[in-house]
Amino acid sequence: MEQVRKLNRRDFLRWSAMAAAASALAACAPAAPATKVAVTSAPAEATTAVGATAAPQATAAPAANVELRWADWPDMVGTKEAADKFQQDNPGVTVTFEAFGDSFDQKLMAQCVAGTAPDVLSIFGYMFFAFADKGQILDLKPFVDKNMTKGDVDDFFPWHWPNGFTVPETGQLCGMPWKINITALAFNKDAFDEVGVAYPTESWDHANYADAMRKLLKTGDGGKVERYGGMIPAWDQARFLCHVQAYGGHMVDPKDRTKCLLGEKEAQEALEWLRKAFWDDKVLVPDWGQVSNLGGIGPVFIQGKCATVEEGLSAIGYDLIEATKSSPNPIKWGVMHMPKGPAGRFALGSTDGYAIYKNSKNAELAWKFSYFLSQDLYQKANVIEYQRQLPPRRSQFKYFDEIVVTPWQEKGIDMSIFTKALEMGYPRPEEAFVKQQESGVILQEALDKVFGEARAPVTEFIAAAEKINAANKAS
Amino acid sequence: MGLTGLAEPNLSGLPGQRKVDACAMTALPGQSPSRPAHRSPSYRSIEEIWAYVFLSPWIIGFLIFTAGAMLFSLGLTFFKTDLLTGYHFVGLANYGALLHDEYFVKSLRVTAFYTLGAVPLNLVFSLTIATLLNQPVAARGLWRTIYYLPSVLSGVAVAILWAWMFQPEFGLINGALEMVGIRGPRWISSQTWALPSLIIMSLWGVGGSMLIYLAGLQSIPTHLYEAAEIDGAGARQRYFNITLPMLSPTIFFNLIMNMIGAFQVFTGSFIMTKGGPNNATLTLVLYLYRSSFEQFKFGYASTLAWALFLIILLCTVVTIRSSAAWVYYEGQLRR
Repeated sequence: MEQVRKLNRRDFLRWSAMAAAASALAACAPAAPATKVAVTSAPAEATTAVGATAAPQATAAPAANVELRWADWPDMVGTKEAADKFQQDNPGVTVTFEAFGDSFDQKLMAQCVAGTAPDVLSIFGYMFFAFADKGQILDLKPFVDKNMTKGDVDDFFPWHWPNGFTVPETGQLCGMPWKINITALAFNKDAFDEVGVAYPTESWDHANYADAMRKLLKTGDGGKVERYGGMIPAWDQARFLCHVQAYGGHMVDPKDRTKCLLGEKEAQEALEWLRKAFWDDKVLVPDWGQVSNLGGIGPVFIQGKCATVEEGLSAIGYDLIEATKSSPNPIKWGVMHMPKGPAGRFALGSTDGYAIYKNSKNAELAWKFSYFLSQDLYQKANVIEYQRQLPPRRSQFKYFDEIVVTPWQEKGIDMSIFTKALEMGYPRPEEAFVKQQESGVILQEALDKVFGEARAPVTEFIAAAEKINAANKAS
Repeated sequence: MGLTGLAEPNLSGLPGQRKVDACAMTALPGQSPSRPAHRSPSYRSIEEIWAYVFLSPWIIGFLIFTAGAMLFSLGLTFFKTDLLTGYHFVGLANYGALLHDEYFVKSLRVTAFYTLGAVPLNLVFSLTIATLLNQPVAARGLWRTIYYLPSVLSGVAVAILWAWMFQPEFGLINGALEMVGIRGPRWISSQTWALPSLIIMSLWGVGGSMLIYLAGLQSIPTHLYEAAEIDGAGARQRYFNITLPMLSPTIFFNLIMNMIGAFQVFTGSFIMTKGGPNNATLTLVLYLYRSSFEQFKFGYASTLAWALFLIILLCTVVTIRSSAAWVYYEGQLRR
């Protein structure tokens, strides 16, 4: 009689393990691609050189079931509405939002290496130049020349866009602007009244500024500081620059981005003004750690722990205003232009914007979308109402006036200085070296030494400039 | 060759049976001698085949994601590349650049200081806690869990937590020091105290070593203690003459593992200090990360990685060689 082979324990375990392994492998397999309708009129792009593209073809109707990937900061008001409106106006297009996290610039670049970067990238400042240098973003000049009228281009401030977004050496236009963040001086009116110092005016210079901060410094028993005269985040590479510029200096040589000018006389004078305020007069909040220890810039200022603060519109328009709303007993405060220096008035004007990934399969669509984001719908909802920052177009200032300036004018806070700043033309974008990352490391070391615990003399920047020059010249 | 291309399996016959060669071509009765008889694989060879089948996912993963990646990075050390715009062969230039790189020297110094501080402290702390938790105390299981739990938390979460604890004005640590009249330092904001802060933070994870020590302590034969007690040895003598020597293999294991981990320290300096202030916490792995993902010098970063590998290898070999002098294995005969 034939014996039936029974399933023994070993066989059971063997087959179970194989089934589990097969299931795990099946789960790891990529999803089957969605059925795509044949593209009837796809736009053609040809990459002719690193970072540049051939002139785009005539705008074609978007292909059905096209996914446009948009990478930006998470939890922002207005992004869903913008995506929905764009999808509505462009049937067949799906806008997929991908939220940034920490170290987003490094992750974006890693995605570029992998060839999987999103179509539309939200980046800023030196990152445009870094991505362009690596040939990872498209030159938008052909798109602008084809799609924008002169009137449309003139609606922007040239120093900001296109100049702030253009690589000086190659002329590549790296992005469309998102918003403008400008630094200004917020001041505690109650503190000024208390010590009998006149409020800052447009004619204030660095001498007035330093003098006021000395008078506004308040110390208590045992020498503990109860109120600092000011907060200038000089330890931040982008934030000390306006003082250097006000003294007629530069961080980066405008004619040669491989050269650092912080060792020059003008820059040294500006840096010495800062060093003196930090360590001789001791009027400035000593480090960012101190600010976050005290609750962040909003509470620090609104609770009267700091009489003046140099901050961007993002902090003044959002953090300070929110802290004012939530504080049971907020101070009276105002905003003024950055003080002048011997060479004029300067402030940081950021260049946040949208770049298009060079390998985007939907470059025309990506352009259309980034252009769309610079228009009224998104600017009103996201930039002005939510972030309380400046839109990049002059024609949109009326919304800023209506939503930000007018309500706060009634409380004695003149937020119109931000739009006036643009009209006056003194904001400047960041200065970036050719090898910004290496230069940044050397620069940060010098900043830490001079404005940190070591309290080194400003001649540290002379040595740093030499190192930066060498780093930029190295192949 | 066997089916997998590996050495021929040993098919020695069971006791009393003739040895069978799997490749033998023996004709069965009635069959033409030229036609080989089919011999089914033996049970043992089937077992081995299945063993490799089950091992294959790990082997394939190791070959692709570990060995393959290591070989790729070794190749990168001979190139200058950002992985985006091409590869430029530079020979040994990256290795030469290491010797003149002040940041490499600085990061090596920082890493060495961290290792020399964190490893001994970790070993002593974890051994002390394990010794205490090996005593018959109430709720011993609960205590062991409490001491072990921190080591299972995510490194990033721990770093953020400790950044708050180290806050000079409102942090728990300075708060506690102030209660006893000590004005605490600025910890991670201070160039002097930033690295010691990371060393202190590393003690948070002693639970893993503690657990291994506990296992080691419990494997020490009790008759040794009994014999020592009979001979009049006190607690201290028993600890230093029985416990520690018998625990030396465990200490050795923890020393190697902690040393390797310390050389690769990254999370604390990346999350809490970004290598500052003034590069006071610029560890080698952080410098490697900067060189690769911030500066896109992947060739040089790969060189740094291999330099670190060789340093760790050297230190491990030296430690293993030294173990002959101070590690005792039960049953080992020493001359």
